[in-house]
Amino acid sequence: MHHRQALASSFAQLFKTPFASLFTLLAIGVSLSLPAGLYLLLQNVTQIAGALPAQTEITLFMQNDAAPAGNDDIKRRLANIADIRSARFISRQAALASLSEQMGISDLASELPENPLPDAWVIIPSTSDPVALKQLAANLRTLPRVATVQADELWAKRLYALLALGRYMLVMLAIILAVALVSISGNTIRLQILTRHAEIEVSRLIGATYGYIRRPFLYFGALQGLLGGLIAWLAIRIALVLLEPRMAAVSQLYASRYRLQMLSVRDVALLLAISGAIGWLGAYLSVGRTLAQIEKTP
Amino acid sequence: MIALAHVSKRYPGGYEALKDISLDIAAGEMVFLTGHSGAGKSTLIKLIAAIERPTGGTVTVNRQNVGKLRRGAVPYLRRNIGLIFQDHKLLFDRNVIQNVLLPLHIAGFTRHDAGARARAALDKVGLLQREKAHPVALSGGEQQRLCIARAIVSRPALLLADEPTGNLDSDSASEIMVLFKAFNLAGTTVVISTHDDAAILAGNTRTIRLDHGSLQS
Repeated sequence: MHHRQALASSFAQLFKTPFASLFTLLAIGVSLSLPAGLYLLLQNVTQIAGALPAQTEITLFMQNDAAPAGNDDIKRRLANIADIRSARFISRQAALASLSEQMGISDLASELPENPLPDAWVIIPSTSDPVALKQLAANLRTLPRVATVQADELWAKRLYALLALGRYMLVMLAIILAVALVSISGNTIRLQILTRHAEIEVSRLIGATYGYIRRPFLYFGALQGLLGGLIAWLAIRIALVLLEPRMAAVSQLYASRYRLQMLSVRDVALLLAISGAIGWLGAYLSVGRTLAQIEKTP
Repeated sequence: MIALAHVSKRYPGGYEALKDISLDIAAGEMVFLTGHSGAGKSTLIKLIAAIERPTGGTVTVNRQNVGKLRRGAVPYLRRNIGLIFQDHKLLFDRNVIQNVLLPLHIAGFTRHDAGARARAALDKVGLLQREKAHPVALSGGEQQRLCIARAIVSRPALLLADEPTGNLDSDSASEIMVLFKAFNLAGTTVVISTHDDAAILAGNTRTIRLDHGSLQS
């Protein structure tokens, strides 16, 4: 029964000083919206990276003396290798033709004594995982009559490294802000305990247990954290609504139909759970210390 | 009810507030604790209520060794003791009846039972008409009676009053003493510390006299 009272008194306490409460809640909300927003950004970038077409190419340059008849053999072998989405053959004649077109020299072929370009296969892997790509390139190198394998894996590596860095920074930011939030929560609770010093002292004298005295403050901390989390979620919601039309314009230019990802229900639940838990933890640490101080000075 | 055996209390810094005190107070007894200020009256009351612990000897209340009580058990001991303070220790952010309701909330009474009990307690000290008033609006005597109402609302077997009449004029003081007599007649053990000799001479009540921390017979 006291639990319900404690919760009710927490709400009452919150409304007793509406401005101070609002500022504290905003501080908690804004601090939480930073890691939550960064998380969402990373989710979106990861999504875009996965959806980009032809993000990685591997080019197989064949030996110049390779007989055209060998092509079918290569094609069959490629079909047996995993992680290949498609393979396209570019003959040395076609390569020279497209090169001369690109360079604007109409008859490059006739200028050269001999076509210097080799036959080539352009392979699009079905994976963007750097380890799998490396394995794939190694497999391709073992095919017969292959001169060189040029794997365009650096790009993928860089992207993955950046995403990993982003995640790492997210974790660091989250930890730093969690510490800040625990102390914000702890500090507001400490002030509250000090203003309710008399009540606590009297309650102790007439037989209140530690649990009884602690409870309303713990509820207050958790409630404060939870409301802060709610504000963070709202801030992210608003930011997304503002970004959505701009994102639509950008993705149209890239002829893509990408839509911004929102926080899922699971993410929101997690955000609220973490914010509530942080508020509770701050209150817990603060109540223990402050009550011990009060107890020492009768 | 209360038994002290060779109790001493030395505060950090060396000040010895109580020296080798042994006494018994039977259930249903009313006892005055007198002596000059600094004689150890308050310390004795604090030891009985487990607000402080003795540095020597044993304090037994209701067959419990109070000095050795676990911290978690202290609240349950206090619920059976009504404490009355010279400075009342009322909460000024709530009205009269809410002050009296506090011990009942702490003990976990339902709202309905608590309300009835609180009014009964206010009635006994003559403050029923002022239940919605705030403590600031009460006179010193009324504040002390409110403090008494809060102490008796959970019907404790023992009342401990530390200088309850210290700040009151003689009329208010004798009203308070009449109240204590009434509770004692109803079976409550009452221990009152006072330096007010008039109150003691008024009746042939047992008196324990302390002098510089020692018993004086």
